[in-house]
This record gives sequence, structure tokens and C-alpha cells, in this order.
Amino acid sequence: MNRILTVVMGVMLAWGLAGCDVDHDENIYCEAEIALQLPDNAQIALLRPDTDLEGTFFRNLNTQIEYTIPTFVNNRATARVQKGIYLIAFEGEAVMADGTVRSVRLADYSVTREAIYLLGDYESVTLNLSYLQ
Amino acid sequence: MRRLLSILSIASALVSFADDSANYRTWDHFQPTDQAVDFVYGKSSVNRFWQYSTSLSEISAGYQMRREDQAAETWNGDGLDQGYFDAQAYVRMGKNGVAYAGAGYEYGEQRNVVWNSTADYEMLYPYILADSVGGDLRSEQYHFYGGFAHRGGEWVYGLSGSYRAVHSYRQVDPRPRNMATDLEFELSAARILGKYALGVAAGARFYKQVLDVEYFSQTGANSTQFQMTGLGQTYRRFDGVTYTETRHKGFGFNGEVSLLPTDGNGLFVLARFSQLKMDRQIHELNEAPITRLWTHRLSAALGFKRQTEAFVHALSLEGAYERRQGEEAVVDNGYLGSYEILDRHTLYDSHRYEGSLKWAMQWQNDCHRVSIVPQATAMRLVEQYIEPWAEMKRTEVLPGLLIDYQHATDAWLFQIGAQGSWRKNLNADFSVPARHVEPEILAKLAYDHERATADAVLIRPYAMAQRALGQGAVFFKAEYQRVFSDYGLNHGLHISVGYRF
Repeated sequence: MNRILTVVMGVMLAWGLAGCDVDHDENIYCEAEIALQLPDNAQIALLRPDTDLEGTFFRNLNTQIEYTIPTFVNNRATARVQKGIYLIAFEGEAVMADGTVRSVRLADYSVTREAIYLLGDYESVTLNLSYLQ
Repeated sequence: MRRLLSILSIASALVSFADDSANYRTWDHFQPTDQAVDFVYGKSSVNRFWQYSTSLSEISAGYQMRREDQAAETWNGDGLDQGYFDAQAYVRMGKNGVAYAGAGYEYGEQRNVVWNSTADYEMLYPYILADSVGGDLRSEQYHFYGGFAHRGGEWVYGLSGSYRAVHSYRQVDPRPRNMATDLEFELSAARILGKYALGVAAGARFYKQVLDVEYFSQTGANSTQFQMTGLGQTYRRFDGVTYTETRHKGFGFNGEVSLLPTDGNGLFVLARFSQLKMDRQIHELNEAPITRLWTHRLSAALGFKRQTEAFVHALSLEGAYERRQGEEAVVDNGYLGSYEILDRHTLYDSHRYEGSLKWAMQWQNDCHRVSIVPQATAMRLVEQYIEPWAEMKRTEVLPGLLIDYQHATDAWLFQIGAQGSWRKNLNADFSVPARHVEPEILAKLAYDHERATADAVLIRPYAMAQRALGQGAVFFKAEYQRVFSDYGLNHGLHISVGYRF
């Protein structure tokens, strides 16, 4: 009797545990380090995106959830987002290291084909900007 | 003395009925106290070997109606008209065999179904396709089941299976058309140990649903089909009217251990688990499985039944835990047309806890039976969506009471009874930030939560009359249900007529 019960419970437990293959401790967020690059490699001290424009967005392609474009200081910013693929585009004012202010645009990653993949726990990407003037 | 014996003999003939009559066998099969220990019979065919001591078959036809001023569940509509045919049999084959089988067909129409274009909503929730327009939904369903158990020495072996097919559709825009099939089978064995039988069972389940929503009118095409992902979220990239041809494919398995008394008197124990994995694929995206739902369920029950000639009482305590975890796929940019799955994240998570206590008492003699079944159920449901964070919770208790009276003679069997229950919400929480949810979906979610947490009283009187006819008996049964709440009239009717033999 005891042997039968032990075998039965053992088989049931093993079967049950084998079926539970959902990852309970997964990290769904990506810490992304984003760098900006201008055609002349100039240094941007501070970037101010124009958030009133429809063409300014940082969007998860699948969920379509919008994220705030991070604050770029000295060409770099970090963002914590859900792992996924992203569209990002903006126009704005860049305060250059020498104190001048230039209008810049990021447009290369605004369509599905050019989406940015942020899938790891930590990712580094470089975005190519262009001058508007 | 001889005269006294004659009088007793006549009296006995008037109040009792033959052991092999359809009325007697119906009396044997429909004991309200069995509700307390029915959990052990379930789908396991070896346990059904000991369920009844007599055979009984039934063919019937019926009609079900439901009307609600305000739908209690938007996905289920605010009304129903449905007719059905049903046949089922439980046959004892000598001392060592039992076979049972059933088949049925239902055809009906649900009224004003909103926010649901998918069949088998409860099984697939939260990964369903939905729109705000909805409308009446027609459906037909076939089901077949069967099983047998055979005793050889101290062992009993069993096999059972069931098949269900659903076809639902709407003939005005938006026009969902669902075809679902659900196949299950289970193998079981039991070892007889004295007066008890220790059983084990293992089974598998295969599910498939093909769903497409079409629009014949350009105007209708303005209504978006949402790929719902839980707590108001949707898979927005594929919302709209383009990606509406979806497939649900599922595979599951289950196992159980049980202990029951072979003579029906004693301790009943059941522990059961099941797991179901369900993928939702989008046909237009190269069958990309955009979501995957895992449903794990653990249940355990303990019951005790004691039966004497005049009195039966049964007590049971049942508990169940169900966890649903929903994974959403990260689909690539689709530039190459293959729509690769890059990653999966568990974003939907729900925990459902249920416990119930039943105490069934039954007094009976040869022709009268009175049953009283007080019961209480408690339930807690916690649903969470991880990103963006949202949570809904509720806890409720449902005390209830069933009172049943049956009267039987050789020619007639009457049953009359009523069930009442009170759903009392103990606490509720609705934390769904509006920022990332479509306003119309948020309104629907809030309404559903409000209805699910509203207090309500349910009353369900019923009556059945059965008349012996030939080797069997014809019966007529009527049941009325009324729910009292703050949301207007909510009632339903179920009538059926059939033949038992």
C-alpha cells in the first residue's frame, strides 16, 4: 500500500513539475544606453526634443506604448524600457558643447523596417542624427 | 393474521416500486446528497465503476432561455434562446463492467454579445479577439463522450474520452465565424484495498479553434478588432481589421489520485492537477504565435458519506487553485515576411482560489425523500498585468441552500425543490491606470468588474414529473432562475422532456 502510494505520488509530482516551464524570475526590462552621433562627431551638451511634434516618439512597435524620450547629456542617455523592438524619431534643439544651439533630427529609426532591437538586459545603441540647418 | 399480511402486502405495493423500474433507477441516480461527493467521479472512468448500482439511459430535448436587463457578463450577452437534444447512458454489464456514453446537439442564439468574437471565452481568457459593436451570435455545438471500466481481480481499469465541436457565427458586421474542436481522453486504474479503491488517472487534451472576422460593409469595417491581452491591454500592432484570422491551438494534460469507498459509505479523497498550454496564432502573420496562455489548476477534495436505509448524510470540503500566466511574444519587424518570435514575456498573471463546504442530509423511506444541502463557497481572484502595471482583485462568499423533495410510486416520480444562494462581495480593488487603455475598453472593464463584485441573490426553483411507460418512463422538468441585484431583471427558464429506460 505504502509502496503504491509512494510511486503514484512520485510520478504525479514529477509530471506536475515537468509541466511548469514558465520562467517566474524573468526580467522583462532592458537598460538601454543610447548614444547620439552627429555627422561631424560634434558633442551635444544637452538635447531638447520638441515633444509637441507628431514626429517625435519613442514607441514599442508591438505594444505601441509610448515612452518619454530620455534626457541626453553629453551625447548619452539611459532608458529603462520593456524588452522589445522600438521606433524612435524626433526633432529638437541641441545645445552644443561650445554653447551654440543647432536644430537636429533623428529619422532613421522611425519605420518598422529600421526598428531598434532592445532585447537584452543591457543594450547599447548609437543613433545617427542629422542637422536641420 | 393472514388478513393483516394481505393489507401490508397491498400497502407495500402501493407505496414502493420495483427495483428494476425506470422510476427506481432514476431514484437511485438522482440523490441530492451525491452532490457532496460527486467530485470523485468526475472524468475518471474507474471511479464511475462504483457510482451507481443500477443502469439508466436517457434521451431528452429541451429549451433554455435567459434574459437580462443589463448583461451580467458582456461577453456572454444579455439573453439566450437555445434548444437541444441529448442522450446519455450508464450501463452496468454484469458484476465486472460499466460502460457509459452520451451525445448531444445544441443550437441557439446569444443576444447582444459585446467585447467577444471568440468561442470558449472562459478557457481562452484573456487572449481573445473583441470589438465594441458585437451583436447576436448564433452557435451550434455537438458533443460526444464515452468510457468503460472493467474489473479483473483486485484491479479495475478504465478508459474514457470526449469530443466537442462548436460552430458560432454572426450574419451582420462584424461577422465572426468560429470553429472549435476539443478532444480529451483519460486512462485510469484502481486497486481495491479492502472496502476502498485507490485510483490513479492520467489524461490529455487537444484543442483547436479557427476564428475569422469578416466585414461585408465598409462602414462596419470601422469597428476595430482588438487582440486583447488582459486588463484592458491589447496587442496594438495587430489591432484593426486586417489581422482577424486567428488560430488557438492547445495541448494539455492532467492527472489525479483518488480514494473512495466501494460501497459508497466512508471517506472520499481526490487530488487532481491539470495544465493547458494555449497558443494564439495569427494566420496573416505566417501563423506567428503572438500569445501563449498557461493554465495550471490544482484541486483537492475530502468528503465523507454515511448511508443507512432511512438517513444519508455527506460532508465535503473542496479547494482549488488556478493560475493563469500569459506570455506575449516580441514579434520582429516582419520585413522578411516570416514574423519571427524574438522573445516572450509573461505579462498577464492571475491567481484564483476557491474553497467550498457542503453538508448534505437526506431522509428517505420507500417513497419519500427529503434532502437539505447547505453549502458555502469562498473565492478570491487576483489579476495582474505587469507592464504597464494594472491589478484587479475581488473576494466573495456564496452561502447557499438546496431543499429537495422526491416522491415515488410504481407509476410516478415527482421531484420539487429550490436552490438559493447569496453572493456577497467582501472586498474589491480596481487599479487600471487610464493612461495606456483605450477609453471604451476601460469603460467595459470597469463595468465587468462592477458587475462581478455586485452583491446578488439567486433563487432557482424546479420541478420534475416522471410517469412509467412501458419499460421506461417519460419525464418533464422545468427550472426557473432569478437573480436579484441592482441591475434590473435577470432571469432564465429551462424546460426539458425525455424518456428514461
